[in-house]
Amino acid sequence: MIKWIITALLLTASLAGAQPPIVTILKAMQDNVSISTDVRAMVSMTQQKVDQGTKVFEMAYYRRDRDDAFLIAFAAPESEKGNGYLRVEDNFWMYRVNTRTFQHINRDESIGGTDAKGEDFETRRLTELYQGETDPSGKEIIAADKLGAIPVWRFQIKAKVADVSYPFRTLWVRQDNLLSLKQQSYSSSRALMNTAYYLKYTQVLGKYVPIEQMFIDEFEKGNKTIVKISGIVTGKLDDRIFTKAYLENLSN
Amino acid sequence: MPVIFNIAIRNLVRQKRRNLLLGVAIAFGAMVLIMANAFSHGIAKVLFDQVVSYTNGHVAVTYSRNGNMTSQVFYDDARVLAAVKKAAPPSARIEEAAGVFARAIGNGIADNVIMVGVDLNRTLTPEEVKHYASNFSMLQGSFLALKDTGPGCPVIISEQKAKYLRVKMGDVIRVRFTGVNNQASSAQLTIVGVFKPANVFMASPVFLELHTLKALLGYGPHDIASVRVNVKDPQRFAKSIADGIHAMLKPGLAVMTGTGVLRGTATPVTALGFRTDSASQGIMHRGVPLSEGDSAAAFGYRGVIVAKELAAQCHAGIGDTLALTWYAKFGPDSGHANFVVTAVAGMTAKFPSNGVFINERDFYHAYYAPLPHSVSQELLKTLPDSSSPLYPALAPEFMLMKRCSTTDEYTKMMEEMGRGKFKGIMVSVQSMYETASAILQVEAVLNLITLAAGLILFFIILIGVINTLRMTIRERTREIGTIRAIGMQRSQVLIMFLVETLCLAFVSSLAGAVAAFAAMGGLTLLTINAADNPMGMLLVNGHLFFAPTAGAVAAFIVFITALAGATAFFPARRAAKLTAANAMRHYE
Repeated sequence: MIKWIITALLLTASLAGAQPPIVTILKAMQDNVSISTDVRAMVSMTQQKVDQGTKVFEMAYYRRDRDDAFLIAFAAPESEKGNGYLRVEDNFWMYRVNTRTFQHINRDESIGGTDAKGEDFETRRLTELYQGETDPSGKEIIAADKLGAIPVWRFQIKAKVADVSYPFRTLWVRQDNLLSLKQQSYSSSRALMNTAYYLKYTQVLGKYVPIEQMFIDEFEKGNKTIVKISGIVTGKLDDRIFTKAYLENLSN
Repeated sequence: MPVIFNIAIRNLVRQKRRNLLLGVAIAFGAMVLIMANAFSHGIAKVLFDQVVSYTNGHVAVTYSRNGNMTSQVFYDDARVLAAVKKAAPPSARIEEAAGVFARAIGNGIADNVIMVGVDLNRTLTPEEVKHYASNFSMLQGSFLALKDTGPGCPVIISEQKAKYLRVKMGDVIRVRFTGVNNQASSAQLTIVGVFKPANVFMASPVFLELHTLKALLGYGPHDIASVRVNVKDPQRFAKSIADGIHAMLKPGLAVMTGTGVLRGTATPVTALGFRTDSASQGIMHRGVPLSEGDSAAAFGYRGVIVAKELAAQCHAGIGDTLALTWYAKFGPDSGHANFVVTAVAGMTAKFPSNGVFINERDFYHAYYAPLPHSVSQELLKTLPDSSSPLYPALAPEFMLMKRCSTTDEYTKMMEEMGRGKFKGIMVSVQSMYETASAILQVEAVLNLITLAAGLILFFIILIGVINTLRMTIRERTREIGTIRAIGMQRSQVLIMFLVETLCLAFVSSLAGAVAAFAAMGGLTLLTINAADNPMGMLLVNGHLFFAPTAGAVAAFIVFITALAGATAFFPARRAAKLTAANAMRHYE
């Protein structure tokens, strides 16, 4: 019901040419993409770095909705094959197949040498982390814009909490279905650090999943990462999946 | 006795060539032993003085928040500094140490750097000035230009790093790093100096003024980075200072008092955090009887439990949001946070009726942002104290890690901290004898290797000494017979030969020591270019570094003299045992 009310409000604002409150858009955005069920998928991450060339990482991803537990098992490249990560509540383990050992790691550490961190796989609500940014007059910084030919809301948000990677962001969100198309992330000194493009979405259980994303490193030019998600399957996953034993077996 | 001494000296002088060659051999052995010891001691000194004391300090107070070891921050600088100043002697050098790994972009090329803060706002001691002068041999610009407050952040950089990044004086390098709050940060640094690094460890970092770096990293005015303490005699004092600081940093209960708004009703609230590990959940389960709500949700990592009286006063229940506002310890700011109630409980006897228990993750998110004002002793008396069974499950102000006794223990403790099971700040106080005991072992091993190699060489020389003595005695057997016939006692013959050997060994060792110092002086003058070689860590400003000690030199001289005396004893005793008649009849 709330979803329909928000959509109606946003459509009314769009038709009237008025800007909706940023928090309303953020709520609609998180509602658009939050899948309240267990899910598994294959994730491919192509990482292009100026000084390291191109690397393709492929991994199986399992997520349990009940407690936000997740398991990642690498299938490629060869150097990472068999390695994995398991997070259940406060425990976050890294599994190394060559030594067959589990090691506790921190959520801030890199996943398999990629630019992704453990915290990137956690589900955190956008409205808990960010709020609309205002200009000196107290007015929210939001405007109707176009990205290519698509009408979008372009607005700025800032972090409400300290533990987010980027304290400031600018978002381009489609006016019709409130899907994010582009995001620019800024450092605390307002330097542009990263631009993300959400290239393709698919619908799963009535929610949208960005299945193709591109992240461009704006600090070190020439570095970019393309993330593709495929084979999305929803439905309850066996609790045995979120165990060390399962990750160990999966890797062998 | 003087007669025997004179005879011994005369005998030494009489056999000039042989004794000279023997003396040279002993002197060479002494020189090798002294130089090898000075070199291994020098390596250890470089590692300790140039590396350990400037990376760890003799004693270090370090932190980790939520298991993040790069988050070196404690939100109450006065508390840490008070403990350190109380435990350390007045002559100790107490420094705040901030540093961070960063990605730097120069002119069309990127590289990893370490940004290190140097505190230039305090008064430097003459020793520190000397240290900075020797470590920062400036090729361009001035070290003190780091204090400039013009546009851009001043930075000094090693000539190797400047060359790699293709930058020069006045150029700007851009850096990306993670701030103390784990946020992506960036900055532009203006190069105000290029220095020649004293050793390989100095080539990678870029140096900024400490307060400039802290501002970039997101430290607040009362936040403090890790603290290093350096003392004059670390072997004697480091551990006791660390123990002293540790004893004075005992954390109390973390308490937030402020105004809570529940269902529109504003009321004073006292909030405590609770640990969410399974042991603590068990304690909470036994000590906090729930009147509403499920225990799994109440004591889990999203649990927020309000006192029954507070809930009744505000007509609130599960699912309602408690908006808490508290006064900051420092400055006029206040903190605000919202918590969703997951349970209502009849609190224990020792807990106020306006109490709230908050899971540690949400609690510490709020508790440090900003740090709440200290609570009164009267209120503390109403809260669970260390004798309460509930106390181990409650969130402390911070977690003080135990003191370690070895590097292995320290490594295990760091792993434990890195797991991030505790959501608040973990504080560790360690001396370099725990954090860098491996380096002490390296010194011991180096000493052992050099001593063994030197001794092998020296024993070869000693074989020559014994052989020469035996030859001398055989040649002088008839002479022994003569002097025995004119009245010299057996013991005097023994002493005469021993005095000869001891004098020769002592003078030769002294000469060896002099030669060792001359050789070390000469080798120190050589400039070795080992910038890209890990062996460069053994050099100081491109030169070999020897650290001879008076004690070691004296010990080696005594050792060599005594060893020569011991080896001479047996041939000398055999000579002394000869009867005058037998000795005089001896003919070769």
